[in-house]
Amino acid sequence: MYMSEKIINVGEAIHDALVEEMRRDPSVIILGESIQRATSFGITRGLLTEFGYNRVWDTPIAENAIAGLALGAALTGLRPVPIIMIGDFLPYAMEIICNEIAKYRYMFGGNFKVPITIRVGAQGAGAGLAAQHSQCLEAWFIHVPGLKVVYASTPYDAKGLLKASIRDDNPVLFFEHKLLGSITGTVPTEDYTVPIGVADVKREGEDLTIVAWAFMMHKALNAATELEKEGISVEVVDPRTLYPIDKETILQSVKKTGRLIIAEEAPKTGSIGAEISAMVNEEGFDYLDAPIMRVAAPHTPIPYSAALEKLWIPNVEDIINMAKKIVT
Amino acid sequence: MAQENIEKDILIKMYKLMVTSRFWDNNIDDMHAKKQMIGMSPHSGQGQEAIGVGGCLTLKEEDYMVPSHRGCAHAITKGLSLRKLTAEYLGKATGVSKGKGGAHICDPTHNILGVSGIIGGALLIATGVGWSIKIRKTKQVVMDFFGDGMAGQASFYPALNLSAAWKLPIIWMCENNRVQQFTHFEDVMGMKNIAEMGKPFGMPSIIVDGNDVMAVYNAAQNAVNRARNGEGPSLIECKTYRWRPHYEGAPETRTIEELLEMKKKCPIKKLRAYIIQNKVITEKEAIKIDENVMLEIKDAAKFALESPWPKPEELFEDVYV
Ligand SMILES: Cc1ncc(C[n+]2csc(CCOP(=O)(O)OP(=O)(O)O)c2C)c(N)n1
Ligand SMILES: [Mg+2]
Repeated sequence: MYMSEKIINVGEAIHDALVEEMRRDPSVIILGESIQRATSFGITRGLLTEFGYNRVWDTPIAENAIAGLALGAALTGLRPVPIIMIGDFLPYAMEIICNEIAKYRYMFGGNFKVPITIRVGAQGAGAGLAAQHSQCLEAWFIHVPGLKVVYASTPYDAKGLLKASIRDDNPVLFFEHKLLGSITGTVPTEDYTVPIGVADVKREGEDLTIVAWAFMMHKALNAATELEKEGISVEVVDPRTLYPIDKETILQSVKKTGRLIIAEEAPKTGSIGAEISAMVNEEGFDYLDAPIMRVAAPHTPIPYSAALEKLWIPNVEDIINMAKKIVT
Repeated sequence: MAQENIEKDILIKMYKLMVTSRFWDNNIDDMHAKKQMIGMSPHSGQGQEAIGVGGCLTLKEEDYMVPSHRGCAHAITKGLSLRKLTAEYLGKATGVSKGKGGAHICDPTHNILGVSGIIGGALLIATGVGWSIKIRKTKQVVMDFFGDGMAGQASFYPALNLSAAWKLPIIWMCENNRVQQFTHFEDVMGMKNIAEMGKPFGMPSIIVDGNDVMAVYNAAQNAVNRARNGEGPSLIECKTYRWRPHYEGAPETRTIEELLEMKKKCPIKKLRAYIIQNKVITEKEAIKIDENVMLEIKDAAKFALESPWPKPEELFEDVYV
């Protein structure tokens, strides 16, 4: 399909997407905490050298300022990519994101465009970083009209979706998971985008659909491999965009398999899984041969101790057990 | 830096506590490197010990302290046991928070509130503590430790404003090491000194050499006295240096020359020279203190390593009362 391809990891994919979009469009600027002199996750390396201080800004530790700066810039002709270093710091920016960025177009009658891509780095548990550096907060944002929410699981999707997000004239939250960085895959060397709002079937199967995204998607694939050995054929659907979600692909899959599990790394209550489940219930009830089930985290903050953290994180085993329960 | 007003036993305590903080820090970095400690890389406080020690030595047991994420000198000085501290870093059941918080330590038995992993909220929590002291009329004070980076966060202004407006018994202790992760102070801060920020609110705001524990102690003592007498908050900006990278294993953005220059201003060496010269203790006695501290730290490490992991049921405990 593409002229040439290369193998890179998710971190490199995001880095490459930023570089290519900044080269393509001089109105793209990035800003965030500690992105000039060095970075924790390496994603912004080399950007200062190539694009200079006027397009790569270090900010104080002030996430609401990061979001506010981005909105002011977006309203006046720039295309900012504000970076929130770790997902758990988003609440500090919540006021600007949810009350200003999300509402600016609608409340002012379509008079403005808000082309902002908020890159949310390093979500997720598994690194022993305790309750305030490990959460996956994407569910908080699908509830806010005016925002798009994207969460990729592979280098191909990450690069293509970040490019699409930056080119989109709407505010997009682009989430990243801290354990995804080193996951590798092929990407084309030429320019491409992955459309926002389109899911991808990562594995085809007959007996059960598992919807999972980000790091959980890989656990779902591992579970599918194991379940195959026991004669259960699993289809894995990666929504890639959580709002607007690709209902059609999910419903088609459920129509084929008759069973649905949604797996995610966040507490079950008020989750994305709850939303998908309700949607399938409303629009695909007749396809179902079993109740929709969810694999999610317990309703507790994330504990520090390695002994407890591993119990908190929904894992491959949990998915396998749930699958066996509903495929009989 | 003649400090005749500081009693001999306080000087000896200062020395012992700074050495404890330094050695403990060194040891936890070691345990992390050896993977005896699994989890968040320690945010070393080496080089900044004089601030936590000098500040907390002016507090009474019943006074509150809100610690920062940088090092443990403040918590160790306020009374947190080395065993409970080390076990918490290792995620063990015997840790001060049963292994649930790791580096986010606390110790309610010594009125040490929690270290937050979020840069910002602590300033407002400390404001609330000061407000509560005023409402409860208890004559306590609260000392809040924060980095220069926190002064760029949205919570800084309301914290200063409210503490001044309501004359709350708060000591704002800023540890200005001029770095905020990989960002340097001058990259993002509009003021020259953090201390300037207290002035519009009419609170005493001073700059001290944060590597001179006696200077920190004296400044803190004045501020504590004022707070206890109902005269309101003070802001103390302690100029200091972070010796290690932001966290162990993080990239370093300063030059080797700068780092070497900083180490010449070691707060422990400075106090040690002073107390030996002024015959507070002999060199031999200082060495004895060092050795005893080392034994305490080894004991704490052994205790933590041999402690059990939290039981699985613990995952579901403490979400609600
Ligand atoms: C809200 C929030 N944003 C970002 C971070 C990441 N972070 C942790 S410590 C730190 C730097 C803090 O600098 P400073 O307050 O000067 O303290 P220092 O580390 O220098 O002691 C940053 C950016 C965080 N923990 N919380
Ligand atoms: Mg600092």
